[in-house]
Amino acid sequence: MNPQPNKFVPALYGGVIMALISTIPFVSFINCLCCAGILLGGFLSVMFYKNSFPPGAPLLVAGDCMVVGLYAGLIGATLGSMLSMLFLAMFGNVAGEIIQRLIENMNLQIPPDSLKAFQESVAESPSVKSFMIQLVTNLVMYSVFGLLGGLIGYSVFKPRVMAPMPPPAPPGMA
Amino acid sequence: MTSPSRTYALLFAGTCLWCTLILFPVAQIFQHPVISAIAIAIDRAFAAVCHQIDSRSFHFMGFRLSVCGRCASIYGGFLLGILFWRVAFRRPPQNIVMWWCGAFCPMLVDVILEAAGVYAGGIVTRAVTGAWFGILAGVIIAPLFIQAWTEITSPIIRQPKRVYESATE
Repeated sequence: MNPQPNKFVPALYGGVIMALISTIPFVSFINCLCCAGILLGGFLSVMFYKNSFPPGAPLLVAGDCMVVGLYAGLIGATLGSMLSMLFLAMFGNVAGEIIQRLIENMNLQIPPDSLKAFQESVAESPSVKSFMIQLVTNLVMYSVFGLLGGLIGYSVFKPRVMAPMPPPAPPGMA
Repeated sequence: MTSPSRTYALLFAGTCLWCTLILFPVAQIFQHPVISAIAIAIDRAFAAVCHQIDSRSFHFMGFRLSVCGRCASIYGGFLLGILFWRVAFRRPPQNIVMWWCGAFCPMLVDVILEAAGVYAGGIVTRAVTGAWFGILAGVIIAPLFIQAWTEITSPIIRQPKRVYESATE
């Protein structure tokens, strides 16, 4: 029987997808829908993992899918934090500034505290401290949702276990 | 206590902890500087997973919860779902793709109709469709998590067998 395929490569693909979804301005808003982007990364990593199974390999199991989703979350959190800081240092908070301008133009009724907190977050410049806070937060959040994405992937891609054939009726029973 | 029961307890405790973190900003009512600092830190951490728009969020005793109304309902529904699975199901639902569609469609329809301006929407519809999704997600995820955790912690079990059934013993 062939050995099981490597878990790291599909997790890397899933992690890169998570990081890109979470970093690209406006695309990252997908995560506002209950971390859909991170769940998608975990789900896709299981799909890549399943596709890497050679013929004759052992069946896909839930534990492996959960681990692949977890790895994807850890990779996505690390890459996402690094990319986010890089974009912030290079271009500034582009999406935040556009949203701030929209809020000002549309005269939306936003509580002063929330508006102040938002303005502070937009004006915040990248630093080692903010990177570490973001990294730790992302490691926790992405791991949980990556793991869940992996389980969702397993629930969709799991192998169908065939029911055993009933034994033939003994002679004389018909 | 069997291993699947312990795994279920782990899942339940983790979900309770998550829901407690969402409710934690209410602890600012004690007006203690350390508690307030922790509550603000938790609130900022959840900003990574939710828009936290004030008008779309539940408030309790004057404090906004860490996530919006829809997300809070999803997580609360998930907690109810894993409890409901333990009491009523105890085995994974069949035809899981249909279950996911049934869970997701009402929420998706609510989001689309609201975005299209067909109706104004409101926190009640967001909460109901979110809770529905959370409950069904809990029913689907609980047996899968128990199965996965048992497979990881018991390396002998490598076949896709129904290890969750021992949770009912």
